[in-house]
Amino acid sequence: MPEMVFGESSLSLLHISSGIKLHFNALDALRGWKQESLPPVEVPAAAKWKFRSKPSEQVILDYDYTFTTPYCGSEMIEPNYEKKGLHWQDTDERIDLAALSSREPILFYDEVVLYEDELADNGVSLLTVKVRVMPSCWFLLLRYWLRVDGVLMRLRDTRVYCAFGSNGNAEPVVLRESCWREATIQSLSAQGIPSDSAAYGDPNLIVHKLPIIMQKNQRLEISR
Amino acid sequence: MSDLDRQIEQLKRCEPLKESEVKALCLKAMEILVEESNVQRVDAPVTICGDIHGQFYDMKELFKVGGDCPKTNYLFLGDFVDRGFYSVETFLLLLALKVRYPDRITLIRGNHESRQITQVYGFYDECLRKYGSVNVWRYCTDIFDYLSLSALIENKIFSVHGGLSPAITTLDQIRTIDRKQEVPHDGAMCDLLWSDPEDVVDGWGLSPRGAGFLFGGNVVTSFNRSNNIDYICRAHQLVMEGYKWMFNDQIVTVWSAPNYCYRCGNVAAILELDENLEKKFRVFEAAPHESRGVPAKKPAPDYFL
Repeated sequence: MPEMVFGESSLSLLHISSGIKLHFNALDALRGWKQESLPPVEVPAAAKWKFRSKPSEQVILDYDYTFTTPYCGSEMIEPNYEKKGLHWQDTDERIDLAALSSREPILFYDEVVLYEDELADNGVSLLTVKVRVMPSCWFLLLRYWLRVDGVLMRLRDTRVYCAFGSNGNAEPVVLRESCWREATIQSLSAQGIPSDSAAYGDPNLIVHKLPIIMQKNQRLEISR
Repeated sequence: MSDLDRQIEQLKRCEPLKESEVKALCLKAMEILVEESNVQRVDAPVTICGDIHGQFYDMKELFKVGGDCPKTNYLFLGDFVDRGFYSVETFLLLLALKVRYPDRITLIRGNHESRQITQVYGFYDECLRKYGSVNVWRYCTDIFDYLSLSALIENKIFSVHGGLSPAITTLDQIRTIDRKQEVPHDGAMCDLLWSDPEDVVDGWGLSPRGAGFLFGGNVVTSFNRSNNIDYICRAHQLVMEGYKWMFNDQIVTVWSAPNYCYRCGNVAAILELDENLEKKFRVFEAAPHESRGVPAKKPAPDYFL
């Protein structure tokens, strides 16, 4: 398990009239990690260690210590509400970035760390979710950020957006966009991008330099 | 009042020293540390402390709980710097106490007492920010090379930052290491500062990162037996309860940074040993928010996209 799991922390959004709840929690994210189960990433010192004299009996652990997860949130209908099916359908609709760029007042804001690990001082693995609610919409960003010093940077972002209809009766639409980015430090330095880890405490400094490796746009569908 | 006593008072208020004072302090510290053994002998009574990580105000809580130096004898197991906001003041206070009371406080090296690690995890940036140059970082990291690698309390308790090494079966093997260098990426010195005990391995294990040893209960049993040691006391890993025994009380982890990184919610501990080596763990919490000058916990709303 990650060194710091904030298992009691979560972010939930509940639509009161339908009972639809979107929630974000560490346990579900770690289930995703276990399922994806990527091969471990070797740190730079590993190359040297291969030539080290080894104890005669040695167990090699090979789980994904970076806790990389494909998690993009959980959804459910609250008990005591009419049962409905929920699923995410691919769509061409996109999150309205223009609307999000307008500086309307933020009525509610919070950021929750779900888990974090220091990779035994070899970098950082961090899963956080933050949300802001404005008069016209709400928006959240679930971010998995990984930096293995000298090796790799990986960013898996999920953005969820919902505009409140001008007409109160219209069903709100919930859009979700996932974007995975990843690059080796080697490929970044080949492009002349600084490769020392100290420069990348904050993933926002590097996000646009990391190539996209997966992207999907979905909307929440409700079936009765 | 001597200059040194005045500097200690100043550091206790979390005010850093001038660059020239740091230089002079480091020179004096070097003369003391160079004489210490790689397995530094420590007498009881003594209070053992784990990682501090620049959490200055929490270290003041530690001294409140454990008593002031030199009234209480201390052994710090390394990782004084990085991650917290006050690595400079934390390390300099410990170093000033070391120079003032060399027989009352023992500082051994952690994996963060290294040029490479401090450039990534905060101490380098903090020095640059507080002094406008990297000179203080240079003086401090030069001192890091002189810190002892381990301590032996009354010949019965072996103390080290990380753990054991497959290259080391006797304490004499540690004594022969030439420690006055940057922490290497492999070898015995690296292992002492980096390795971890692990329940799921029986003998030795290799971390999934491809570097870094894990050691099991059998390894600890045979090390303790061949060196006639009661148990090993180490730090290096966060434990939510402040301390944690493993392998039938043959090794204990002590962690002394409460609410680690100002958000983890853990408690911290120190281990007090009296003159008969009777143990008492003292658990303590982080300093109250208002007394530590740390930005409020709630993040400011931001127009993230």
